[in-house]
Amino acid sequence: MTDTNETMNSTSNGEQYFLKGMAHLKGIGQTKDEGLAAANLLDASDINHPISLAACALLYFCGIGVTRNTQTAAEFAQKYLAIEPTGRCARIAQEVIDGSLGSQNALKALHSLDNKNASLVNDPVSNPDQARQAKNKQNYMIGGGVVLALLLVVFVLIPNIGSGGASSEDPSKLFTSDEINVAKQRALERAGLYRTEARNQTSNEEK
Amino acid sequence: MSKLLSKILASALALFTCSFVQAQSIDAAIDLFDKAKYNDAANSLRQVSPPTAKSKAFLCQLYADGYISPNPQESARVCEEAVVEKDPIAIYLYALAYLNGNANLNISPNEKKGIGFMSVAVIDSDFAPAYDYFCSRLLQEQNLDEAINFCKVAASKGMRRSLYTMGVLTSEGTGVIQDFQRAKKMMLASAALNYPAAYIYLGNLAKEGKNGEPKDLKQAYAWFSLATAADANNRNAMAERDSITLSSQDMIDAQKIATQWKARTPKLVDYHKGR
Repeated sequence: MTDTNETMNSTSNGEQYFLKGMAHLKGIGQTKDEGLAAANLLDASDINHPISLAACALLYFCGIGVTRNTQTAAEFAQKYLAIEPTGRCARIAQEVIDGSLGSQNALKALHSLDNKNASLVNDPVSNPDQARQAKNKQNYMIGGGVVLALLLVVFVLIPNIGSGGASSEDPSKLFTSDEINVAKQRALERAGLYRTEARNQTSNEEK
Repeated sequence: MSKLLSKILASALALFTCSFVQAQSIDAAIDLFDKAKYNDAANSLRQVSPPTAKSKAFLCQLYADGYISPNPQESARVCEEAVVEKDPIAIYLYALAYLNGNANLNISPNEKKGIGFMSVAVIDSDFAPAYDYFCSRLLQEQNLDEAINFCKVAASKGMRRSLYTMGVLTSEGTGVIQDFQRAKKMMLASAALNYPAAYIYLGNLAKEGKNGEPKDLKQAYAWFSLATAADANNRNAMAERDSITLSSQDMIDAQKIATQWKARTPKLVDYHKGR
């Protein structure tokens, strides 16, 4: 019973230190002070408050309020994983250990620790694979946009440059091709008759 | 082998250079013509060496239309050579010269000969102005069935008079199915080539609001203004324009509409530029 009470007290104290540390880190409700933030989070980690262990891993990983030390960061991360191997910070802790976490993502994760609704794992920025995919998607979209712009210039803008006419109506499109073919055939027959008449008259005059 | 190859290459290069220089001289002549420097244009054409059918036909046109002083010997030579070389412009000019007579080319009227040349321009060269001529001629002879065939081909090739004619026939439903919208498109295409009669037709449509068109006095004023600008002698267009009463602001708007349309119409009708 005494052990249970001590555990409850330490969890409660850990949460208080953690929240105070985060408040100093962000400057919300407390003065913004990275040193005090680190001190409170380290106090919470001393009593194995899980999220504070992850927070300390990130503090050492980024060098916020403490001297940057990736070795110490990895040790805190391992401690976290030992307590919560599938917790919401597990992925981040793993990346701290294998060194694949970027500084920007680490900072973002650190500031999201006190928000239980924020997903640290599924955030594309904090996940290298998803970040790569997002980057690729962005590149494809830019590339697609450039190709579309080029097609627009080549097939729409350039043909219209210097077209000059005041009307949007192209005379050749006012008639169907069948209509023109029939008309042309009949016109050629008529012109052929005119030419024959002219030739006959010329030859008669020469005679 | 290498000597033969170098000779072939040299010949090809000479041919290419020659064609390039010829094209340059003709383009220079067109530019000079546009600037009303007709004698300079003629000199530029005379410098084309060796002369091409196109350069001769252009020189023939300068003589035929009286842009340069008559020279019976040179005009007869260049025109006949261009005709023999089957240049469509030269054939068309000869046709008009025989149909109407042309003192500059020293040609007396000969109706049959003129019609013969014109039919050659249709059959051998598929030349749009020749179709346009037969369209107009056959309509004057009231041979509507035959005329429509020539009018349709000429209109499809962008001849403004035939576009207008087809617009009128389509609007009336004479010889073709009546279609107001199609008729308006033909009129707009003709007006885009600065044809005064098309402007007047469109002006009347807008003024009276007929054939399914809404009444729009501002637009009507603009069309009549364009008609007056395209043909200064058209008193009818001027009277129609002045009969429309507009507020000062509406008149300014109408003048803007007309100015914007005019800026996009071609400056002159010129066979050498494919118009």
